[in-house]
Amino acid sequence: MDKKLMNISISMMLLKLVEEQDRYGYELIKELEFRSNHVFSLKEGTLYPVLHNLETTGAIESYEKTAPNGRLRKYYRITNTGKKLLADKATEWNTYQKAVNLVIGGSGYGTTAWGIE
Amino acid sequence: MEQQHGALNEVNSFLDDVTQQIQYKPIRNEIRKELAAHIEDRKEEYEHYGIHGPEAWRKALAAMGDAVEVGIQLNEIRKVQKNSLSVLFVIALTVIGMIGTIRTEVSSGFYIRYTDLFYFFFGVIILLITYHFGYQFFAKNCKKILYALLSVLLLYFLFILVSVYFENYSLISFLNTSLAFALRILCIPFVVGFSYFNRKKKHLPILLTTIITAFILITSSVTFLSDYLIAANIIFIVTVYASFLYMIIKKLFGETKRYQIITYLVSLGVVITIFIISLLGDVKSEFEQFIYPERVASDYWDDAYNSILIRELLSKAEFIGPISLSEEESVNYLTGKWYFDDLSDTDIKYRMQFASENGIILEDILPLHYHNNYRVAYWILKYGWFLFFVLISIILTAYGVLFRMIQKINNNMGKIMALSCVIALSTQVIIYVLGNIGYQLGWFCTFPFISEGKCSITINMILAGLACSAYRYDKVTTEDNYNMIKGRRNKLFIGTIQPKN
Repeated sequence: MDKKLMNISISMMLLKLVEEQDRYGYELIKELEFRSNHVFSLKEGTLYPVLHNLETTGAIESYEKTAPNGRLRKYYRITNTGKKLLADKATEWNTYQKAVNLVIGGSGYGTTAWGIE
Repeated sequence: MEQQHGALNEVNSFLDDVTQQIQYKPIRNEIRKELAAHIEDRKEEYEHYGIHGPEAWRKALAAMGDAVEVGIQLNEIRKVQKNSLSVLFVIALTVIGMIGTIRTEVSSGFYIRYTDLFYFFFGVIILLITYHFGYQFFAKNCKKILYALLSVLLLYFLFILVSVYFENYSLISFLNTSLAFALRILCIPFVVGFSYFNRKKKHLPILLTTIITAFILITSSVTFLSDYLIAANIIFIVTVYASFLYMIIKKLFGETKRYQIITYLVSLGVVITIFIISLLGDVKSEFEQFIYPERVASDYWDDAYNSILIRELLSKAEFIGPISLSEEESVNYLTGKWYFDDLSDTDIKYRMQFASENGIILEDILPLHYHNNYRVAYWILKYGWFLFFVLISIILTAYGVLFRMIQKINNNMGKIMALSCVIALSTQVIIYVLGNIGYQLGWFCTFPFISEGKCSITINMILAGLACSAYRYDKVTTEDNYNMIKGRRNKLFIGTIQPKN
């Protein structure tokens, strides 16, 4: 997959994942790989700049919590700003997806990538 | 064992390489811990699939990618932001204040008081120090500083009460009344910050805000302070409650917005009631002095008369150039004869003593302390309305830059604190300018960065510095992790990753 296109969509997907429940970095990587059938299998260190960027723009916020195995983890949760951003990005993505499908004649246009309208 | 040790050193080396790219050192530990936890999680997964020991570590490390690249990307996001424009505008306003002070002292035939100029320079140093260190200090010590400020205010109040009780007013003269004004203004960001830090404790934020505001108002409801601190109390209420409303609108409190609005209105009602009571029955006369000074002006020393005189003189001011008054007009304005019909010859003789040797000049006519309290009015009368519009344009641009800066802050804690500082500054400007066009609210207010006075300059520079500092550290101090910058360095390495030998 084109790297530039992938980077844009990763922020949106991470937002979606933390919207479902509070998650920590490693959990996000695993979930992203699993749900995308390993299409989004990125170098794990590169996840953190994306997460920190979302955090500094106020889309997500973090807190520390001790996991059952005693390890202190940094969890991320979505903020109201993040929810709005996700909704906007999802709309943009759907428009983009429909337009691409109209041009290349794909069958799946009109469907939403993440179930958000 | 040696291989295991070597693998751990590689992990540490990776974490070192990442964190060394981060220029803002206090967040290196936070990033290190997060990445270390991630590597440990990945290593455990490899162990689950039967890969153990050094190989598990090395594979986990390989999955992370290039350390320097990750570090550079993180540094690009989590870096200290320069904010030269806002700081330069504040300094530009200070320079205007300095020039104004020098010009006024020269025009009035006074010698230049270097202590007045010193405080402007001192203020700029305070601004730069607060800009560089203010936000971290605020985040670490908000509660302690608030308690300290409130304690000083309480002591101040008790001292005045004792003085009044023993009728020893000479004691009061030791107190700097400007300090009481300045302390109230300085409390603002800390009260707002304190409410923010307690935002998840249901009723506590609004309760604390109400109690502290009531305390501030009650400690000013004694003798001359009730009048002197009207402007400070209004600035305090307006700023604290505007910031609180912003927090409600942005849903920063746990409760529903409707519930918050109701409790907010109740609190505001309580505070306004206390404010009215604290004026010790002078509400009507204070209001009349503000809007209709002619109803309360009794003599030429009266502040209400000053407002009337200023309105009268401004109506004659030129667009460009100094006001031109005939000799007769000058005499009438100097003595107050134009307004008071019943002045005795003694009164007129007394007032004429204030005339300069070579004839009456503008500075003789203006109220006492015009060079500081009526700085804007003086400049209009001396140089024309054009200068006023230029000044107002510069001020609007400067505050526009400050509000734009706040808009760009993402961290809620920094945003709220910066907002309260800039509202406090702009409210002072509004009250000061209103006073200078003849609508004086209580006693005199300060004109941030422009009017002289050590308390005014110092406190307002702290407010401006704090606001700019919140922007500066916005990207490195994220929501809910303000304690990260407290420098908790006791857990540099977590879990099984141990330091290098």
